Amino acid sequence: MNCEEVKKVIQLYLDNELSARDSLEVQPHLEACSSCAALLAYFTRQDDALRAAARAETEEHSQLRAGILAAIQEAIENPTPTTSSTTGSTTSSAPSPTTSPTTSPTANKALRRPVWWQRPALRRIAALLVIAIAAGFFLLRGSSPFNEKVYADAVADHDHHCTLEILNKFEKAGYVFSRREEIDERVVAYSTLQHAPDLTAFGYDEPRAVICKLNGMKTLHIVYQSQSQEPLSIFIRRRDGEMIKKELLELTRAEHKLVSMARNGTELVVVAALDEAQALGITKAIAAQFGEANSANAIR
Amino acid sequence: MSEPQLEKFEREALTNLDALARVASRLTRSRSDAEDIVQETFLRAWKYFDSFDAGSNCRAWLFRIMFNVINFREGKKTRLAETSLDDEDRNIEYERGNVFAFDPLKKIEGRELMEATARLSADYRAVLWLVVIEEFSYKEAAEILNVPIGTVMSRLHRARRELRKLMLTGKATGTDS
Repeated sequence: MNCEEVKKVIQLYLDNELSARDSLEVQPHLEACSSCAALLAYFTRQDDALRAAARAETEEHSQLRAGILAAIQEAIENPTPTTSSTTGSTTSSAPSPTTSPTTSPTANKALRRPVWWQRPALRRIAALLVIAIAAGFFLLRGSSPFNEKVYADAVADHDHHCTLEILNKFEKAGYVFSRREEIDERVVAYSTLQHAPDLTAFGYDEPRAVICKLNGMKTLHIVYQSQSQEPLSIFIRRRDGEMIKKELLELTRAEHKLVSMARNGTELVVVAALDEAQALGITKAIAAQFGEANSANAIR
Repeated sequence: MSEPQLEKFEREALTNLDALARVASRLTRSRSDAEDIVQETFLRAWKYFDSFDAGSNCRAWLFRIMFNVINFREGKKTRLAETSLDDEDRNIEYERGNVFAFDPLKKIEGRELMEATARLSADYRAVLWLVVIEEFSYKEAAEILNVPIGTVMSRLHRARRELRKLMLTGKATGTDS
């Protein structure tokens, strides 16, 4: 790809909306071209600064929340009939009532005969079907492919970014950050922490941060180096939605130990080539830095 | 609907209040308008919560409702005007050579950047907020705004470039916003 082609897709690349194949073509150009790398770096920094500023400005809305709940409570206590003209929207996909009774003669004729939900036997069958579907949902939920993609992406990103050669190259291109204030700025934007977790007690230091995507969701990836151990990665993002389960989860993928959990509004995935006990110990130490007094005991 | 349903609504829907209020306040520029919009959004969502598909994205659903509320309040009773990627791209010029005269280590001031966004058109601000701040995908943003994905892409592209221009030329703050 040449500069003109890369510049046309650079924002797609930034937003991880490019196909894997196109991304593979863009990457070598970015490593070789300082102009295009600078453009990407600028947009990355602009986005990160905007995100951090927007979150810092977020106000407290307890009064608004209370007002909404009061209005809903009023609606529960004094229900009004649902009509089909209350949404005020047109062809948009806002919810629209689909169960309000019609007033046509045909509909009135149909209502004279008992419909299926008015027949006890059919109601029982429907109830059993709902229970069976719900049970199937909950049984499958533990093995949802949704979470598996998160862990697969975490391992792939860890392997891609954890060598010093790659980190140095990407830092020159502008999308890996090594200065503490730059890393902490991103930590604040991507989590409820104020600083990058301190792992010196475990022999890890020299963090470097890069923005990546796990299962399509932007996440802050911090790589830690060690003199005597393989590099370690942590992935953090604010928990608005559910990238991973809240409960602590330990697993092994492609010879890496992974531990994930959510605490205090932040989701965390740790990837390490360590034994299970070490990976768990590091996760607990990071959880303690999230600010919960009894986090270590709460985990196990 | 019942009390248990209310608990579910609080857990799944009301947790998105901050995000909705954040976007509403940037699109309406008045706190009381923003609060009215958010309140109406949640009341509508509550009304139709029974029909909401539990397996789908509640956050995107709420944002879609909110944009409908905003459009209705502004009297836009038709779909947002669709513009093709070609139309919007016609005037986009791509840089040639290294035109970045800025210092890559210079900190981008968040406050200045926020003021700059106020100078963008409402359409550009909307995509910027949905994709960059709230981190929706292009597809989700297109569904929320009820426009083609190409329109989201082109508006976002231009919004970022406009912001960059405002920041680089020192025109981020102005009196006409």
